[in-house]
Amino acid sequence: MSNIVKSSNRLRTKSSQPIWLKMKKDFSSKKRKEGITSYLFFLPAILAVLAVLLYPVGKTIYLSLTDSEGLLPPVFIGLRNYQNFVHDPVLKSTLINVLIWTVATLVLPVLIGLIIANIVSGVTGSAVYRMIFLLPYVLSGVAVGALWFNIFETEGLLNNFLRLAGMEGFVNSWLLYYPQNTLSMIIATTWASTGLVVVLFTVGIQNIPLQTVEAATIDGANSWQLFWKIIWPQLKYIRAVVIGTALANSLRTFDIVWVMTGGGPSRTSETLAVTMYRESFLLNRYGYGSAIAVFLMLLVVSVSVLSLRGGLKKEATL
Amino acid sequence: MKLAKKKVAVMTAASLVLSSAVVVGAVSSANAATKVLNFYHDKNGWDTRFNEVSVGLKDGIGVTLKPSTYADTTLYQNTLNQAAKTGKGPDLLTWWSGYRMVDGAKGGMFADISDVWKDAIAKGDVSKDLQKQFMVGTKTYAIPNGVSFWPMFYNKKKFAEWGLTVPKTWAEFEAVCASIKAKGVSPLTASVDGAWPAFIWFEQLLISQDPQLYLDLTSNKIKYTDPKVVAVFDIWKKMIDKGWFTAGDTSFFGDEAVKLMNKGTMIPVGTWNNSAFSVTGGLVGGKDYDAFVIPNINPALTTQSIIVEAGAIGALAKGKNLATAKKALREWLKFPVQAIWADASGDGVPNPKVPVADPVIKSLSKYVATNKVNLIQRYWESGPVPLIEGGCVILSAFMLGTKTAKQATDELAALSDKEWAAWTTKYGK
Repeated sequence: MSNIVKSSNRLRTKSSQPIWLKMKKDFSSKKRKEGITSYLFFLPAILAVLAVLLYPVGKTIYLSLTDSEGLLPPVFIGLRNYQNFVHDPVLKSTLINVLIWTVATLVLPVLIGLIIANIVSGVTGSAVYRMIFLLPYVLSGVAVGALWFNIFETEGLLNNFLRLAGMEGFVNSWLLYYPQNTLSMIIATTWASTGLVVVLFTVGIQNIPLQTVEAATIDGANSWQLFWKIIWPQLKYIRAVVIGTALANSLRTFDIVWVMTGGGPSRTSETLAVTMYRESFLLNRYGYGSAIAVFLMLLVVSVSVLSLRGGLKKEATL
Repeated sequence: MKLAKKKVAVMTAASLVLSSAVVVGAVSSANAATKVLNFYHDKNGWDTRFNEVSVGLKDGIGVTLKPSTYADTTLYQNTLNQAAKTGKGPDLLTWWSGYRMVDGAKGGMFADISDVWKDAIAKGDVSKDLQKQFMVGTKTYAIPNGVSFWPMFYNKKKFAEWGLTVPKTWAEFEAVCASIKAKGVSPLTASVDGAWPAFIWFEQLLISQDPQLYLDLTSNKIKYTDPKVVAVFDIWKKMIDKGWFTAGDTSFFGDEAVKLMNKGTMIPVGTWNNSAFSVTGGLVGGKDYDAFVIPNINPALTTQSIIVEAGAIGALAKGKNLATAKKALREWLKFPVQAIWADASGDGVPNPKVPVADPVIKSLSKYVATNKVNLIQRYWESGPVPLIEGGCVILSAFMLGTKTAKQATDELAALSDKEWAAWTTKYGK
């Protein structure tokens, strides 16, 4: 025992600190070196992210504070673009459109996708059904827009079908008047985006432990109780992702609107992204367009973060 | 900026250009080495035409074109704005004349090609009056990419079948429209698809009523709320109410133009769309279809007026092959290449030595020259871009009935005041 103490004291005397502390420091130092090395491996990716993501964001914020019109050198004008944006008469209708898009594309694809996922996940050949529903999703927004334009235009498929079916009274200029033009485009978007929701929810449903469903069934739960008490809570992560993605997509809706109506007629169907594009690239008001882009970016990021955090946190307590 | 002041004079030269049938050939000697010039444009389906021009340029000066089409005009403009700064991109590019050139000229996108024009005018390859459409200040920045009239295209066979003749007066024009409408066909094409087509009937009715009114309006000498302008909106509204126009989302290019023509609908459009009927539709000009100058509304007017559009081809100022590009532009204006373009496009060309081959354009050009029809610059090129673009949005609303004439003219007047003030601040008067 005394030898051990002596030995221990000797070690303590030589190093002037307990051996466990030295070992810990050695270990920490090693870890630090490994950490630095690993960061060096990350560096190219970090630099790429900075170049590809942060630089454009920084440049956009800078341009939003200038009168940039593309060719002539931009002049710093402070927050004037933001002031003009707030007083822009189109802002009100654009924000209302964004709200309609957000609510509709949140409710329709998510609800329809959930219903379809519930139906197809339990049937034979569900993979085939999933693929069928996913097909529209793989089309580009431009292709979807062109397809549905041919359906909704005044001399398009829908009106021709209505005429053939003897329903002349329902023939309409679907894309020429507000709000039916926005609603028509929401239908097109729902058709295109529901497939992904079906796939995500189907994956979620298939990952639910079978025992929980069996236990509830044995306890006498009916279909509604089974869904609401067993399946729905266990879709928490998938649901948060689906809703977060749907929210972000609806806020930055652009391609389908641009192809089907160009934001018109008379700017009635413009969304924030379309207004930003029109100001930047049609009128060459890059400074003003950048201010709208910054506003849109802040809106999308904050809504997405709040949605994801809220969704996950809320479900975690279940 | 004196473009607006001299529109009629500018266009008179184009009339002579298009109606000329004198052929004086001049073939340039080919250079030893072939050089390739990148050529950007937004004219969908025109690559074949430009490739034929390329052959002509190769024969003349040993230079070929490598055309790149941008299907989306907005994307095209933005790409060129970036290319103007870096010099990377095209050597040659298509653009628009008039006010639409000013930003590019002031911002250093286009090279000064005044020397090209000086030589071309001296050799009689192009009219000096036409040059003014491509000038900003004292410098010239582009050559004309064809010269197009905006007449009314109509189905000649349907007219014969329905017992109709080409209208000479506004009353006759209205009678023709009423007759076609009675057959269950929309007599006139109108569209707000993409907003810009909204200016077509606006400018047409203004020049048919009073060309000077149109010139005064587009040069900001009178307001959109002027009673004479409002009266034109009232005429337009009556035509809308009679159901004479096609649906607002009608397209009138390519196959769609052919479908409209085959139904018997009349189409007011630039002669650059002539090939849609003759090539895409396989219709025979002068036999199946033809074109006429829209009659005056105001019977007191002694001469008719027609809209004329001259597209632009310029050289990128920072382009790495600028000297060759300018050489190509000079060659482009000479007889061999112009003859190729006239044949390929089926449209008018600026070189007066080139005969007009297409029967529809030939007949129209002859009518314009014989009757000394006023040639008026298109609305699209006749004012600051935000005013024209914003104006089309307001005109679209009027066409669809979501704004009254008063609302539309009030909004146009307010927009005009705002954008002309911005223009004056930016570039001076």
